Amino acid sequence: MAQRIFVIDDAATVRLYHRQILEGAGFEVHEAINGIEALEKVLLASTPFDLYLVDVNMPKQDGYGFLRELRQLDIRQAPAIMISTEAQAIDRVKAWEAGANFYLVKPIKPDALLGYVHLLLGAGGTA
Amino acid sequence: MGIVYEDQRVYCNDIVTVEEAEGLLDWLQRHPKAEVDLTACQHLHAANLQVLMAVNPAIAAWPEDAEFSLWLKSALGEPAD
Amino acid sequence: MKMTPLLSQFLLESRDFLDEIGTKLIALESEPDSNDLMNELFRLVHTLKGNSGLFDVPAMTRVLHAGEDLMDAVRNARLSYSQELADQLLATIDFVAVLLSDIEQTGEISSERTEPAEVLVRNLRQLIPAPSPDELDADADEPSFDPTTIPLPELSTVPETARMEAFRRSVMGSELFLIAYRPEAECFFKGEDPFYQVRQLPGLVWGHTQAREPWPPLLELDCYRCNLDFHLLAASTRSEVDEHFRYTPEQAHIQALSAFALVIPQGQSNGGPVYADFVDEALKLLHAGDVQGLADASRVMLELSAPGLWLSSALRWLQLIIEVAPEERTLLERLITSLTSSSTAELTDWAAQTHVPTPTDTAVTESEPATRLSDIDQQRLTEILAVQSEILALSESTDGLPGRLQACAATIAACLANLGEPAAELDEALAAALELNSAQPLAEWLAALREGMAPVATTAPAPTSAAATPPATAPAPAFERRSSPAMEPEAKFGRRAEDNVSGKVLKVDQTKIDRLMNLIGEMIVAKNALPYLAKRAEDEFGTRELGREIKTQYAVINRIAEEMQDSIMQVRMMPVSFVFQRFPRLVRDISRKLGKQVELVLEGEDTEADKNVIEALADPLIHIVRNSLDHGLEVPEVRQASGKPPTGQLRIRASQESDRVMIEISDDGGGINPTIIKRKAYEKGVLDEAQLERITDQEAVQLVFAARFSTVDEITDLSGRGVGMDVVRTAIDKVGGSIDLHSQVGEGTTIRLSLPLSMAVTHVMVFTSDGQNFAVPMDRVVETIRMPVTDIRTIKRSKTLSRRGKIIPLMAINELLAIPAEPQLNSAGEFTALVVRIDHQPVALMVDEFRGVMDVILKPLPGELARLKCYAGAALLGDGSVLIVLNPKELIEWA
Repeated sequence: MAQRIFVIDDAATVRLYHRQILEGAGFEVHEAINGIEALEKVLLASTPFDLYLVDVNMPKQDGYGFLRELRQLDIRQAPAIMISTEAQAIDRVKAWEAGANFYLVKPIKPDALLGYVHLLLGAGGTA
Repeated sequence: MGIVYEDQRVYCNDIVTVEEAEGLLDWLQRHPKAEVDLTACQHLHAANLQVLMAVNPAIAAWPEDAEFSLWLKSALGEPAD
Repeated sequence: MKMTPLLSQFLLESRDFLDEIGTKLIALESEPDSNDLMNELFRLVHTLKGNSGLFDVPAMTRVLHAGEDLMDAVRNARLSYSQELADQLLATIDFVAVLLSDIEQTGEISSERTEPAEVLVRNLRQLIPAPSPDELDADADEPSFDPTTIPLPELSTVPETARMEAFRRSVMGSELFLIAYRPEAECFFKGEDPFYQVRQLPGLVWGHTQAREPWPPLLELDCYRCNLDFHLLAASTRSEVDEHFRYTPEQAHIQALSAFALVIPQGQSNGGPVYADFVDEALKLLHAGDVQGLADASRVMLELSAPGLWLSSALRWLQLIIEVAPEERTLLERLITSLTSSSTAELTDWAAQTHVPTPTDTAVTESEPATRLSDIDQQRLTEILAVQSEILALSESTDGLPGRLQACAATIAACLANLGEPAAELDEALAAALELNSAQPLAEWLAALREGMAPVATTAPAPTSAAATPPATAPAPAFERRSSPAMEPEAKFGRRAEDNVSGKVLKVDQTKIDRLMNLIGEMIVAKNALPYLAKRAEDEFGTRELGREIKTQYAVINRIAEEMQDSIMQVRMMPVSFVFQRFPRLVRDISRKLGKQVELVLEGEDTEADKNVIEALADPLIHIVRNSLDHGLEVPEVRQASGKPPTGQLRIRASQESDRVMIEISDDGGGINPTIIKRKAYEKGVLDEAQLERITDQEAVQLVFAARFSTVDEITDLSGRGVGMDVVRTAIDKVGGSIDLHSQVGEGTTIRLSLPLSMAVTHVMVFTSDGQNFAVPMDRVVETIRMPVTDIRTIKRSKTLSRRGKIIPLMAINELLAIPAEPQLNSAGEFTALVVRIDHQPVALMVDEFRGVMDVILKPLPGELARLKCYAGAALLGDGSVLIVLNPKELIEWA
């Protein structure tokens, strides 16, 4: 069964960009446009997700907030990559405290994204 | 909080922005024996970096971020170059 | 740029963002102090800029970047909101809208926009306050200069570990660059942070910064004049590096490097064991091709030598090259011989003239059996593990610690899986950590793991120690950041957008509609399982009540499914004008060429049908129209001679009749002469003598559709351009349509096409034969009959039936399908037959039993079967069985 990746980003273009890359590599991609919607989907999901890609900057609930709540849920926890843009340096400590496991800077090139995603899913490397 | 000044020690935390550089220079001039603690620092705006390079204060602790730490050590720490 | 779904999405979303930014800006006028509005505005511009970074649209990215910086200044209260600021921002969104329409219409941003973009960027940047504006003016116009005048650092100042890392990456296929970046003195006032910039360089292997001019006395120091030079070593690609410095190309001296130039052993030149023996032995091993032996010998040698020696450094290089590029024999040999003199003179001279090893030279890294990961993945893995250590070292006071520990453990487990290592110990460490509600057991376990991996790990060791290390062995910041906005091929574009219907219409990707269509199709089939279920409930389980309830539910689901299907079909509907619109031009051009006068009348252009039907219609229709122009309509003189007006009329009319689209093409030309057709048909053996006598004139003109007929050379002028009307018929047949031709000599020809509104679902008549289910499309079925066997008449050894005064042929489906069984009769001794229409002729097919009418989704048969034309396709039934749908026409013709 395909591994399930949850992409949380308010920008539809970015979601599509990630979706195309990840689906192209055979992953099952799910999307949410903010932390609140994402939490709902996590709670309603019949199977837990295998990896989260979380945008930092989102309306309603940002990436930090989402991760904080995610990590308090009683579910099978999976790695989360936080994604920031180059304009704002990410607050690493805040990201780690919230529950991120890694971060990448947008725009992420497809090979780098797939490389890290494969590794974080334990699927071996790509390069 | 980017910069926290204590008695004889200045803490550079998280990201130290361009606006801090002037204050940092001023404070380091008035506290020539002060030490700089960079433990929690993720990034220094280049203006702050050059303040540290020009003043060359004692560094009490290098950043935890290994990559960043190497940058600073090569710029500040070793006069070997 | 090609109009990909990603680009379409980007354009669509960008428009929304612009609208929203506009609204927020207007709102800000009445509420200039609103932080919420300002933050929201910043977020919108920021996201829009981020999106644009996915595409190769530097003009847009630059303008938005400037807008973002301005907004950031306002957000951080460095600048207060003003009318002028709002005007500039509004101008920005207008400009971006122009760029978006450029992309939409031509696939790229017009080169005319470059200058206005620069002006706009300047205007925006001018509004951003500089900490000391006096200084800014003083040096505002520093001339740009040739970046190659910026001195590059000596390679020997780059730490050995960094050079080795770069060498590895070069072997893996990266290009190497040595870069000297000298930001302009005023760059801080432009919102730039050169330090951040260099830290983000893709493929950065090593970096160093130093003062450009000696530092002045502190009292004279101006911390806002940049006095830094950056020296960088990167393993990347030219385009990535150029892209990274694209805003300040005149400030970066970028020099490509040969990997061999990095091979510079360093250290104390005297002391250490005697090397002469080793050199001899090593050269012998090298010449014998014993790479493993050479590796072993040099490792032993290295263990005997103090690490600070020049010789040790040379041995480390030797080992690296054996590991990653053992085929570089010359390099190895030079390195070995250099050991006797402790000098690189020879080596560097040679290296300067040689090429960079290509990725195809890459050796299999047999020396790392623990992992089959590539260097880059290896490095990413190390990076990921380092971050987990960082996470686990954080204070534990925050909420959700168990969750975070589990997530960390999951991440580490993934890394172990990549290395092919078991995770049992990790699970124990996690369990201990959860038990103690402390990260410590996990952190310790991870530290031990990372230590064990140290030889393969390429990232720096623990950063806490400030102890001085000799430059030759200083750990290299071997990190890899992927932040370049350089585009990947996937997101590049080549095809232009053909149609760009703007306006407030929701544009949906075709494939999404197709998917919906497929889904509803499947649902319609799936619901068909319910009647079976109801029947089973009654027959097998004897619960009539339940059966009835299932039927009731079925009725509800049926209704909803049908409504859904209708709605989805509506979305796919297209007016026939899509095809009709080509005709005025086509008719004008052809008639002029032929010297004919033709008036074209189009009617019912608004009639709609499924997109697939409309598309399938286009070619046959054009063919028919050409035929009318070529052969139907006469030249003016001929027309006048026969008492007709000189201008002929060609009428194309579309209309909807229940669930079918009717297209009628009529001309008032000469019509088809049945006498000629009959003669030609007889000559070519399409008709025998008896048929020739029997055939009516209307039947004769239908012969133009016969396959053999239209290939007859002499009559190609009847079908035009060498392609016969049989092609038209086949095309119409294919979409489940029918074609009908009427012609009257001297008065003209009318062709009527009847097509289904939609092609997604096919109505079929299901029957059994020899216990197996088959079906034929309903549009072929005339009637179903039951008749006594005694009614069968045999004429000339063919079975026939008499039906409403007409003799129709009767065939057994079993025979046609080569099923060795006799048709079954019912208890009253009657046989069952299906009367189908084949080219306007009824034919009766003997079957065993009828099963009723059903909606199915016809799928092509798999593999070779698809080429058998006697099968129209197959469908999956509600009970899971497969239904073969026959094509009776082909079945009979091929029998």
